[in-house]
Amino acid sequence: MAQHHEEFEFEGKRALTERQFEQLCTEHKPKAHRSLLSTIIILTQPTSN
Amino acid sequence: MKERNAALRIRLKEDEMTLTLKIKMEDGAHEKHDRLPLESWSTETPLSALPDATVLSWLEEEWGISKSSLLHLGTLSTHRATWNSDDGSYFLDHSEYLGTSDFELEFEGSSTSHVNLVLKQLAKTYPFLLQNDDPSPKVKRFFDRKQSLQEKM
Repeated sequence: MAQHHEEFEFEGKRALTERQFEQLCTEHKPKAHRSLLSTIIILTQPTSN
Repeated sequence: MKERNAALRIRLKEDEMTLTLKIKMEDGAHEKHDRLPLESWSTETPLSALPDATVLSWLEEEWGISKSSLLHLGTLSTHRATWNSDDGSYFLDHSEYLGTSDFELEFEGSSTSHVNLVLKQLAKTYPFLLQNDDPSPKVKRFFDRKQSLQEKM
């Protein structure tokens, strides 16, 4: 059986334009900018599509 | 699953593969994760070949959704950059899916009120944060894009 864990997340989001995104990247110098790639595979039931 | 405000995904991140069921609640989101062996599944493999996982058993027992009824709909890739502060963690996401891309800022805090307060503070420096929308979840954006492409066909 795969390793299992659960968590409760509190998150807030704001949509950005590319320019705003670049501005925040420049000013905050975040780690792993454009070097960390996650791939999300969307799964669903055929009936809910 | 859509009616339950839930989404199931497999995320490949560096050397990790994680199956996650995310259920949106009124206040936050409940996430159930199963870390899978890296070689256990690929997009070319049928979903019925997914290894046993607590999330899959839970889906079958609680919601009557069996592994064999799942369908792989596509892939969304996110380039994520992170910075931390005393307030919590900030994420800058550039997502690419179905021939489009978008950008978002995400902040993870200790409660909904904490998250709202921190974003309000940040908007003093970046007023555009007040004007910009709270984006729908990535999975929903993926579905919406897929639907709009299908309507154009």
